[in-house]
Amino acid sequence: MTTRGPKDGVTTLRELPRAIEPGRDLWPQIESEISGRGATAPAAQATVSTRRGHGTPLRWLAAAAMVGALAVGVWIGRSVLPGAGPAPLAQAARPAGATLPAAWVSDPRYQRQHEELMRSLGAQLAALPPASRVKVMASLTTIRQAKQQLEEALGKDPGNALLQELLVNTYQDEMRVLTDVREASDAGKGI
Amino acid sequence: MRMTHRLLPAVIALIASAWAWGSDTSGTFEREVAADAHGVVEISNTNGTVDVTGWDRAAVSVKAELGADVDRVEVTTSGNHTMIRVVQRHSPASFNFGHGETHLRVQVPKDSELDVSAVSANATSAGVLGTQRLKTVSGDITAEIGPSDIEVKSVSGSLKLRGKGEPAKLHLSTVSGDLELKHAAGDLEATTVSGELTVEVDPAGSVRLRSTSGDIRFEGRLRHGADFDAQSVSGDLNVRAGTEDGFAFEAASVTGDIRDCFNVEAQRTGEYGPGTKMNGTRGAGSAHVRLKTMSGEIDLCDRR
Repeated sequence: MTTRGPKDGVTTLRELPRAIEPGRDLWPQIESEISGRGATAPAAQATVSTRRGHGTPLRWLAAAAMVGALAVGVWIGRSVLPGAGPAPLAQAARPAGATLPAAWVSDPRYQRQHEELMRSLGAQLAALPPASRVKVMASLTTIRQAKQQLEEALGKDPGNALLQELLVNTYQDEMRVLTDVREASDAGKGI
Repeated sequence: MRMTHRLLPAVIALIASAWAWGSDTSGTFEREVAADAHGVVEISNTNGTVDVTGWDRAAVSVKAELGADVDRVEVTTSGNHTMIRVVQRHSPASFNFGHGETHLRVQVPKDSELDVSAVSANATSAGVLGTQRLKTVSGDITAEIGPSDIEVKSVSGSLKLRGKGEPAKLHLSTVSGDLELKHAAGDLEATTVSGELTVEVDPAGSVRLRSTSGDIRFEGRLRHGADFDAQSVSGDLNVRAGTEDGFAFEAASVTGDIRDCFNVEAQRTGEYGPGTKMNGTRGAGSAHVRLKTMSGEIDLCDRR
């Protein structure tokens, strides 16, 4: 039986060979692929990895950008908030759905300071002159609304570095106001 | 007789209120003590006014019109420290809501370091050349800025400061009051939550302005290598900054417009999301200007 190749021209299925034998025994390589071992496996894996790397560069770039943005956010938080050393942000008043980076809201020292100031806020406000109390409460409301707006915007655009920076600074402003109110409420000491 | 019984409570109330009205001030106080020409003068008053002026004498003069609920005025000297304190009659629950206001006029050596602390009292200072720290809770503060550093702070009071173009470090903050600064020079840090910041600094070195909802307006000239940073969540930023040799600028807003006077177009930060930014350089670009807001508008110009 003569084996005909494609160049000879195939006109019917019957003219195709029933089997084409490989030039070498392929089983050892297949076996090594299946078992994850064998001499030829690394080369095959390398080919697969390379293809994956070329196929999704944007995904990696996006991930790197996100990590970078988080790092900047954490750095800003630790640099600007009151007290030396790390002082990231609290979870206070965070609306559902906001996707703040976890590093911002997990620092226990900040949370402790914030909770302490909030707990005593009522008594401190009561010690202020009435006109001042009204204005301070309005300012705290302004800050709370600003935080809410920023968090909602970040929920839609979590990687936005501008929003992250503004939010961190707004948290810092809130701490400043709370601290000022506490100092102001110390009887006879002014602020 | 029946008529007398009916009118008696009204008469008593009338007499009582007349007595209360008349007792808003309960006398005057005057004292003068020798003081170090470069010493520290500390003044505290709860309610009323504190007016401080610098003079050429090495003495501190205190004149006061006392409020009804004032126990005494203390003037003490210790080393180069002179302390003036208006002491209220002890009433913790209403320490700062007293009906009587004490008006304090103090003259201090002009090179003194001044430290004023008040609750509801308005504070003014003029002609003081040393470092000043002026703080109130709800009182307004008006001050002349000398060649030395100044820290001015109020919770709900407004701040009005005027310099003479002499460089100094200025730290100004108010929670809800407005802040107005004119003819200042040097480094400035000013913050407010809901008040408006209107500042004029020429020349300016390091400037950091921040508000949450209040508008920020800056006018001045940036020194070589100056660093200018203004930021608000929802307030507008209006910056007219002349320079010695230009500035590099970076302006960004999430939902607000960005405008300038030198025809650089703001760009969208992304194809799909909100946000605009504008970067560039004017002249040699030795100074740096950063303007950021979420929903406010930005207006930048490189001339006053």
